[in-house]
Amino acid sequence: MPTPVVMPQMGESLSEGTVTRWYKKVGERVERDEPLFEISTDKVDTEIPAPATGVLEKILVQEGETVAVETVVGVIGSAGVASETAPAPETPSREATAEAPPSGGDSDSGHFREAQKPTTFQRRTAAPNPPTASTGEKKGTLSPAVLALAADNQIPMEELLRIPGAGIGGRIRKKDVRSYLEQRAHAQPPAPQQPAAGPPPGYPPPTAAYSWPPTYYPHEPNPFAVPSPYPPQALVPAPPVEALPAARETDETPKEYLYKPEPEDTIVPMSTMRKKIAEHMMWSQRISAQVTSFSECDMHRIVTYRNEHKGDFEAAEGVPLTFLPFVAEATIKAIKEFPIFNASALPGKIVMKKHVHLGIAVALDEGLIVPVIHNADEMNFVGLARSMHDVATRARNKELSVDEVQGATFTVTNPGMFGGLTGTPMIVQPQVAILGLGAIQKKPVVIEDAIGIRPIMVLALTLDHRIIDGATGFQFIERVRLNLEHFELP
Amino acid sequence: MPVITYLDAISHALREEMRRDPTVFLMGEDIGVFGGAFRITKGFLDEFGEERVIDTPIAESGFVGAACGAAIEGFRPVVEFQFADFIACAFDQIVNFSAKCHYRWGIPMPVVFRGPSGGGFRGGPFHSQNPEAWFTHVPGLKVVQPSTPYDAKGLLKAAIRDNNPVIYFEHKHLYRRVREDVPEEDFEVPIGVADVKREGDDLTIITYGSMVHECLEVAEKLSEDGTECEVIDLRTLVPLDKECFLESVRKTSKALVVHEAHLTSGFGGEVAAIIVEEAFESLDAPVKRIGSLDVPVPFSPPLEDAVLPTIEKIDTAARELLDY
Repeated sequence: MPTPVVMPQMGESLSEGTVTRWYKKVGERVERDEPLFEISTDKVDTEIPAPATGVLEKILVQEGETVAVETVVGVIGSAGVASETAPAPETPSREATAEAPPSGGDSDSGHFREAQKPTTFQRRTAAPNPPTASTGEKKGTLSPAVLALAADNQIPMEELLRIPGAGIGGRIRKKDVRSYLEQRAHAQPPAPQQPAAGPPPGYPPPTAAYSWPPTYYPHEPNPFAVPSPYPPQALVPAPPVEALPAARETDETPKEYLYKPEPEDTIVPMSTMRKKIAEHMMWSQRISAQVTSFSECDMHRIVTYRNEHKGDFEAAEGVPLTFLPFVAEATIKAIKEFPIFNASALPGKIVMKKHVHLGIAVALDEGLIVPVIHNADEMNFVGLARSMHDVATRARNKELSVDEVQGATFTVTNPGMFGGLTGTPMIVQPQVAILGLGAIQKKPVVIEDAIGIRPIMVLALTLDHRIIDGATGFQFIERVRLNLEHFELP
Repeated sequence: MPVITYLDAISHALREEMRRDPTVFLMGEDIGVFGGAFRITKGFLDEFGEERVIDTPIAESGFVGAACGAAIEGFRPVVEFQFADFIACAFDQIVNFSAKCHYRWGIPMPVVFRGPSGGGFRGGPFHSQNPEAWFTHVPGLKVVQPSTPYDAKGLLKAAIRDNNPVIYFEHKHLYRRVREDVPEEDFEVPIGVADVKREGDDLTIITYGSMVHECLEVAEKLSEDGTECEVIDLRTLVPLDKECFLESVRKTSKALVVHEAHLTSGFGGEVAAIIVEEAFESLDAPVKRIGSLDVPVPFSPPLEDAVLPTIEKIDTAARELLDY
């Protein structure tokens, strides 16, 4: 039996992956769990082990191709056996399977007589199904005809789903809606809102020509119909939330802005990671209102402490003592005071998150990845230092799992490690702020009306002005600065 | 009005058209001296002479080519294939020549190809086929497929009078099985108009050819159980009267497409696609198709019954749709 090799689902949010490398060629033997191919997804690059032992029979998705998860990318055939031909396509009709004529000529067995029976069709249980009145699951089986009929008669979805369906599996058929409408019209004419008291405001008073309440004729339009609170559109299913890809298509760069390569240029294809970063950054810029504030932070206490203790710390804890855990702790402390920085914006709503999952931007040769320290607000200094070292190391070695790169609620980025005063970082969606660190550089500063030399780091805070205002931003960045300058040293 | 068979209806149409129009003449294997494999042209040789009732060699490509040449010269030839299965031998002349004349040279090509088609009479794989879908795919050909003596006569007259190549598939199994009152005076059944053979509100059955009768029988049975099927006989496949069945499906919301030809790439797929494209909002169930199983028609009686659509199969599918 050939075993299909599929593009795995690497984390719930992922829908596709790119095959970046096949470790085996067609015809090569492969052991179960041996790395078979490498994939690159939105989140991680990883090796995928072979699902079975055998010979790689087919490669259906070539290196560089991107396919949806669960797509069969290759086939492993039985070990040492020449590849079987693909199974014949099934005959398309149900009748076909039920009716396949017996092969062979063993007429002495019962087969031949069996085949002579003119009809051997298994009728699907077509007995009238007991009407079921369950709601919910039936929604997916409503046909266009039923939806249209409901809309024409202004039946709201909740009411529609309560109609007993007599179709297969309790399905609501057009016929069922029709008989429901008839019943409803006969049984209980929709009660006027002020029963028997007289016509609602705006309607003419009763005259000899007609009386109140009016008589209903189910087949005629009801002149007194009260408009349904549910517009017919309510029956149209809401568009899927993932509307982004559709919008993307119209967002391609207009031709006149595209560079036309010259012969002497070198053209390098974008890696998957590059494309994803590009896409994410463009969207980030588009969907949020980003403004950046700055603050100069005097790092001399921390620099001094670090210089004194980095040897002991590494010896004791097994990880180097860097500036990042200091910043992380100072930031988390500030977030607890200003929880709006640990939020997300939804249409008309702000979601405040309970825990701080801290994203740490890590520069790689080929791009950038943001591993996440989950529940960073529950960690002490050593825990933060250890976690940061761990994820940064594994990010560089491409060993992160998908869960370790998603779910951050606030991000810290440290481009200052490469020098540079500071930068204006861009928010990682759907977060609402990001803290950027500039290089720590010695500078002349005014200290109590004297000029001294201090290691200064410029903090840059980009925030989403949709839900946070500049004043709050300044308060927050000042809090981070003070937390750092007055850090409770371990 | 005399009650005549489907076979008589074809024979009468040919005779009346030959009497009416001296440019109409017949070609085919054994149609003259022998009177045709199914005796449709019995007595024609005596009445019209051997210049208008031409026995041909067993060379379909050759005599179809000759007929097309005669049509260019202003004649109205009616070519009989002894069995529709043999039309494949003349495929190139039909699809690459006759179908293109109007478009390529702006000349009329008033030729009729009669193909006795269909199975159900233990004819085996070479005498039972329904090749209409080979031709509905080729622009420039008209394809008709009558199910009753009235339609058979009226459509053949319309085909002979049409200035385009018309492929006229007559179902062999209907020849002597179906009888109907057919007027003696001249009439045509227009090409491109479907016929509602039975009215109903619960399910639309779209079919043509011999299956019309099977479907009508199913509709009668279902009617006893209180459901009314509308049975639409397409009569002409090209040009297709799609408004007829779309209107019906918009009313019933359920559609079953039935033909005797094989299911895969059969004309029913085209009908189903049109329904889904143009009447999607009216549908209350998936469009269902029934055709022959995708194997050559077997000679063995029980196997042939298993392969062809039967009343039982249509009934089952119709009930599934009604219950859906």
